[in-house]
Amino acid sequence: MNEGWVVFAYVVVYGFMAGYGAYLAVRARSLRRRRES
Amino acid sequence: MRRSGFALNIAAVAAIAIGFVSAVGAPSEQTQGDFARIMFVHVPSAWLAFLAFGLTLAGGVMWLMRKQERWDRLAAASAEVGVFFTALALLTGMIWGYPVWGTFWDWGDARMMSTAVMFFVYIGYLALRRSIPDRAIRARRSAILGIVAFVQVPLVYFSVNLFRTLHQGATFAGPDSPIDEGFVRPLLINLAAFTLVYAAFTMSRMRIGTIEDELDDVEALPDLELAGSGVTEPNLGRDFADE
Repeated sequence: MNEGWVVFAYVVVYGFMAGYGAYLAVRARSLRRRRES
Repeated sequence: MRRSGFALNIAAVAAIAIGFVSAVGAPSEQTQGDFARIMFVHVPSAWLAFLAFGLTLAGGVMWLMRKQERWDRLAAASAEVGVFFTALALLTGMIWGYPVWGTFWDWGDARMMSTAVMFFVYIGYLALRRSIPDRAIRARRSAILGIVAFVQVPLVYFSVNLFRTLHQGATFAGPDSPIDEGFVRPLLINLAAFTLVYAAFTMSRMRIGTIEDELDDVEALPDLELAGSGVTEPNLGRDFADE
């Protein structure tokens, strides 16, 4: 049984979640800085 | 507000970790083996996409009724997060399909094609929002598109019943579900975890929308006279120069 596909699917899901979450955090921080300056 | 957002983010990360442990601890499926574990992330992704587009519809309707900007922000944030979850559902479905069906994609499959069309229509919704600078016009037009586009959600859901193509029908369907208890529990845990992730992303996106609107308001201010006619121009010694 090739488990590689299962691992790949979970890496894709958690990787995308982490990436989108990081994008939202960075965008919010940069906008807050722009508002304060 | 920021503190509650932080707590929600922590809860979402913890729930995802619990969901992962429950997926690893689930038994192997009789015919698919470990490939069935992909369903614990594929199915919640698809359900959350439906929920997200449902809230885009609700936000659009509420904006048309109340004309409050927060409803438009909810609709926009939920559409973006819905597109994200639709992409996850498509990707995990393709990854599962290759080893189990022998193909990543079937152009004749009703569920796959209708999901792909829904994905691109909501990409169009996001593109429409970016193309209209006026907030009121943008909110009205995107509310209408958000309401019309939602027609696709029941179409995608029932596509497996309407057309008998490659994608199987709904296997998780209430108390008569043929799924073993060992699979239902991790599926529900992951559904709850993905719902928390959806809430965290949507709230974060709504906060970003609020700050973007505030910055737009500041940048759109013309060079107004601050005191109007209350202040007269100083004569700077012109009275003496005339003498």
